[in-house]
Amino acid sequence: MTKFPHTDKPTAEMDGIQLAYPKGPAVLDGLDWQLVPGQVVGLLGRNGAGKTSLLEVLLGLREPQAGSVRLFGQDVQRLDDATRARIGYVPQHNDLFDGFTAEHLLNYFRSFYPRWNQAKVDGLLSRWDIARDKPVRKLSGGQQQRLSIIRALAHEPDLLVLDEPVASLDPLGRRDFLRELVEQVLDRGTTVVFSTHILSDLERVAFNMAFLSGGRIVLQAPLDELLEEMRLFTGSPAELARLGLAPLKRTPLEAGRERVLARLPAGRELPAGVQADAVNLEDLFAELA
Amino acid sequence: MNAAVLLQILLVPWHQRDRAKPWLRRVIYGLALALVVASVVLIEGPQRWAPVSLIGSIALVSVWMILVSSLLEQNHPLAARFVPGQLSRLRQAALIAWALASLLPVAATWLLLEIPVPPAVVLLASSGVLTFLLWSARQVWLWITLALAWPLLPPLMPYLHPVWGSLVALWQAHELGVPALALLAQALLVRQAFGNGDEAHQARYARLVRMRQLSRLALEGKQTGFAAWGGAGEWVARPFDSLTSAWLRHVISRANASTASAMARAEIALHGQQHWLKQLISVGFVVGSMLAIFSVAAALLPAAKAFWLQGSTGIGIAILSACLNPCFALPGMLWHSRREQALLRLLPGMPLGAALNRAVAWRQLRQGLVAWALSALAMLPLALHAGNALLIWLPLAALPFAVFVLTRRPATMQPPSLWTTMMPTLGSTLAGSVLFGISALLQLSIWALLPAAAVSIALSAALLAWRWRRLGAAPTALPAGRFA
Repeated sequence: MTKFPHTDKPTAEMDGIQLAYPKGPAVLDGLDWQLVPGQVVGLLGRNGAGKTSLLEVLLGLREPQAGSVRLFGQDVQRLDDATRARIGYVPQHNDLFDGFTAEHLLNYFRSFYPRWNQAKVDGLLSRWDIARDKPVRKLSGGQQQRLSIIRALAHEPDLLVLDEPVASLDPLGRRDFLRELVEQVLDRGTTVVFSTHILSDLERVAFNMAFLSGGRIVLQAPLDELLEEMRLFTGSPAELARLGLAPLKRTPLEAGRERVLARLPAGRELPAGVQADAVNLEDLFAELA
Repeated sequence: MNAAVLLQILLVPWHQRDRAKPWLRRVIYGLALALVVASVVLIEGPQRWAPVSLIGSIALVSVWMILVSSLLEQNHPLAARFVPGQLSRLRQAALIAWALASLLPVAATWLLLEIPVPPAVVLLASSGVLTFLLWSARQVWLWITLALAWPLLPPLMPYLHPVWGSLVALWQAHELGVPALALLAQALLVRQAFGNGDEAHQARYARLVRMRQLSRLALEGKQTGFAAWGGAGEWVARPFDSLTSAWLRHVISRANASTASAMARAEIALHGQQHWLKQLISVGFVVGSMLAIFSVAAALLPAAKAFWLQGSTGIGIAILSACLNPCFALPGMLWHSRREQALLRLLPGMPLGAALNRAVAWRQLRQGLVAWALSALAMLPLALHAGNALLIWLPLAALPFAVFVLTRRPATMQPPSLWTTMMPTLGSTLAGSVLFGISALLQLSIWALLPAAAVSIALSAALLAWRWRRLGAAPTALPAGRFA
């Protein structure tokens, strides 16, 4: 895993996480991960890579076979009330509490939290056009997801975990949600982790990208740094070896050549016969996820 | 329509059968076959055919219901409207299947039973039952009407005799005409059961799909409430929803940092439609309505007074089922609310670890024990009035089952199935019936029930003590089923 050093005390720490489902292969395989305050991380991985499992382990909703998870310095299985009040979570499936109306749902959650920003709730309900007295089961998929997001933002968490939060939203809804997310980060320095397949949203918001593959975070770095420094090198293995690259992915090509995804070495001249192409987020996803 | 197309339509349910767990079906088929063989070999005389005809009738009705369900599902409004000839092929397939299935009992009666019943009567009876089953699969209110009217039928018989007599006289006057006309009317009904893709058909089909989904969920232990049925269901659910909203407001207004307060709020999400308040209202409504109908009938019709004596077993089982079945389904409901539980786990104030395990079990157990006590109290006067000891044995047998089911470890539970949902009800009813049978064979007096009650309570207490300790060491209860 490539880590970029941060000096702040971590919001979340995962060490040596090993998780496998009964009769299944390992989903998380010795995974280490760290989140620091104010960090916005877009979690990327293919379908079935284990993103939801990773987020559930992070929140203590699933016990790994090995490894430890700490949130705000506490063991995730023994979080005190004050720490739990600092966590917001939007699960992947939003078919929740379908017997409640939107107002009941929000009042219900409000009763548990010591802090609740009612002005923000009122503003978002009105801006996102969600009827307070409508049963949740009668809201559209997008409205349910918006309601879920309002619920998660209302108690102003310091760690916000969102599992595919924009899957049911139209482009305008996604833009609105992302704006709210950025405000939350800028206002409160919230740590945000969210998984999505919509790469354009990540390009707009996620300052950090984390790629989950083979049960590990294979790369995490700020997006602009990745786009600036990462290259797809194509050439013969010998020529590529002379560059002293630290390859993240090797792909054999025809005629004994290969393609390597790696960071562009500072101050090195490219030998003749080696081609270095700039990458975008989609290329990185295709290579790493 | 050629035979291949007909077979293709009729064999759809066979092709779509669940191949995942065939053993249960095989066990049922094996048992049925064993019963048939045993009755033919072991019983002498024409009586040997009674179990055969019973099993045959059950098999015929089951196959017909599966077939009807499949045919109605194939009658999709878009297909009926846009696929050329699909509707007429479905109607023809249904008519042919209906005719063959109606003729089967006639042939069986003629070949095996040697009962002097005219074939036309058997044919009309079987075709009538099959037509009713087809239409009741399409219009569920037919079942509800039948269920409500059936217990009233014996007391009403004296009043129905003149109508019956007129029908018999008409039949005797036109021995061919009446059956032919009745069969023709039924054939038309079978044909008309299939929609042509118009708006009414679309609405009906959507209702059918919704009902199937709800039935499937109910079989897996998730009650969805009247409102989920849509239409009139929402109207029926409105007063219930108002009451539960009032309860929600009440617990929220009294919310504090205690575990009891957090669990009272969590229980609303954990148990959903099986929450004790909703169950109390539903059971009260259903049992109250039935008692009111029977009381009015008994007051107006002198013959209906015997109903309390003759129907005591049915009433008792209905009361016990109405009270206990929702409680037996509580662990299944935990499975269905597991997504909500992910959010509940993260809420401040919710207990953790062993405390959460016991708090979840206690909420279930409390509901189960209160429901058990209420049903036992309701059945006791009925049992004494009717002199029916079975009504005391049944709740005594149900108590250990309730304790066992309601103290399961939620984290390790498997997805609920028809079997896990039905097992406690079937098991406790079977145990109660066996105990009743033994007591009847030994001619035990009513006082023998007192030590039996003590044994039932002692067994349940011992079971609870063991399971309670086990819960302390179990993985955190919520979200349920994550180790499945």
